Amino acid sequence: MKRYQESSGLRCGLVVLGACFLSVIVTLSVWSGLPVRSVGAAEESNIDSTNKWAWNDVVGWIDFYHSGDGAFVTDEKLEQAAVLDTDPSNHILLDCATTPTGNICATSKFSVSNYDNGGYLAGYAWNDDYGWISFCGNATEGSSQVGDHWECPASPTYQVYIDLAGANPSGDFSGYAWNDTIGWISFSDNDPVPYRVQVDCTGDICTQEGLPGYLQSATIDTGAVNGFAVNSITWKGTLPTYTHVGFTVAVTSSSTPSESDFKGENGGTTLYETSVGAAGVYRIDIDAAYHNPYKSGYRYLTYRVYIDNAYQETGPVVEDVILNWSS
Amino acid sequence: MSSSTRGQSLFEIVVAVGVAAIIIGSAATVMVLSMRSSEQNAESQKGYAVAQDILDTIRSYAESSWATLYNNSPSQLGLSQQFYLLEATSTATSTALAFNTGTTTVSLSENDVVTTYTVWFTIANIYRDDSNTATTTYSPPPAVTEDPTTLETTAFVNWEISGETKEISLSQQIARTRSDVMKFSQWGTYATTSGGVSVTSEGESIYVP
Repeated sequence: MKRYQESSGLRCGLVVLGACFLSVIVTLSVWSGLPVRSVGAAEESNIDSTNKWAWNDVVGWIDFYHSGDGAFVTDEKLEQAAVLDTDPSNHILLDCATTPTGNICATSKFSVSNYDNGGYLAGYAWNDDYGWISFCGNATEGSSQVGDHWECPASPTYQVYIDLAGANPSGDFSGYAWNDTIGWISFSDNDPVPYRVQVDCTGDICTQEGLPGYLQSATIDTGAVNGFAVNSITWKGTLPTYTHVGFTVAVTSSSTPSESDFKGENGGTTLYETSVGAAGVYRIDIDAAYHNPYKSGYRYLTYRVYIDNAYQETGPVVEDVILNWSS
Repeated sequence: MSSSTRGQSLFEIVVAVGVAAIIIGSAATVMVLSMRSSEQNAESQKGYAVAQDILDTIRSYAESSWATLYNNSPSQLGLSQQFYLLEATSTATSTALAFNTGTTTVSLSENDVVTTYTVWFTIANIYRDDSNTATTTYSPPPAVTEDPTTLETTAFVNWEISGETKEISLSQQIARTRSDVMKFSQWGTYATTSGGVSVTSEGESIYVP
């Protein structure tokens, strides 16, 4: 009996100690600013505070940053809300779990997916005045829910895209969303003035790991014993929307370049890339200053061409590569 | 005999001589200044001709030895220096120029008057901004990027005249115009691939399957 009483007293002591420990942890987490998210408390928006505007011909400017409590892009979806510039209390809710009034998913379950952080948005946002806003679809159907995310129909005719991956991700939104009442919502254009919505790529949302591989050319002996300067790379082929073709260049004194000899923009690892071309011919100027210009003995030239199909059914095809240099 | 036919008085003669002296003196001064100005203009014209000759010689030298010019530019040396080109060897059909550091002199004579010009040239790097506009003003990248195929050369000519030192300069931008082009339409066994990139069986295209 005494043994039981002692054991019971010990248990009571442990319970009290555990409760004290838990309360200390909770107190410390609050004081130290650990992410204890209360209902309605917004995450600081990772939308650029300047490039934050979308446009609709009926409601006008739509602010995705809004004093820092606007939209938040994650590697799975868009969170929180955008606001109408003409009425900041009128929200476009992007995610039922993170609305300004808290989690409303029990009432209505919706979200805008950024599946696998590819930047191709799908799903729906909600506005109390205008209803559902579709981020991807075609004339007959919109997004459909697959597991925990939304997916586009097979042949979307409109879609909102964020440039999050590839060689030089900008974080720029592009494309259109659709609402049955107010029509198209544009995420970047030059009319009535240049505008766009842009996620801040200095965070970890943008990745430069979307390039799956490369082809390394044979090494060219230019014969320039006093060195040379690389001027440009021109390539011919096809570059479907959202896909990327990039280059790095190695100018070496040896016919077998090492990994570190291959350099991109500003002598770094960022690829030389262009998304502008006419009739399938793309010219890229090379910053020769970063590639051992006119250095005695540096006569060998090798390039790598990186191809990123960016999850598209049809990727880029490179048919010709033309190198230009001055010896 | 009336007073009007008596001849000039001594006072009138003195005044006349004085006026004549003033007129002749002024004319002589104007003539001397004009001759000196003419001489200076002639020296300046010859100086500009010398400077233009230096620039022409640099342009010719750049055709054969661009790497030497570029490797003596401030971006490569770390400082701006004075240079001159001197004829090293000459044949009936060609002249070899030697690239030197410092200054040299050129003497020109006209009407038995010899003028010695001290000559040199400097090299400046050219930087380009995003719109490809050329400037000699350096800013840290990525504001501008150096263009190794364009340089600005400035010829300086300096001489003494009437105890004064005169100096003129002429600048020009020169570009490395000789370019080579290589086109790849086939990627054979010497090319290597990594990470899912493939080459078609005929080796004519690169793609991701």
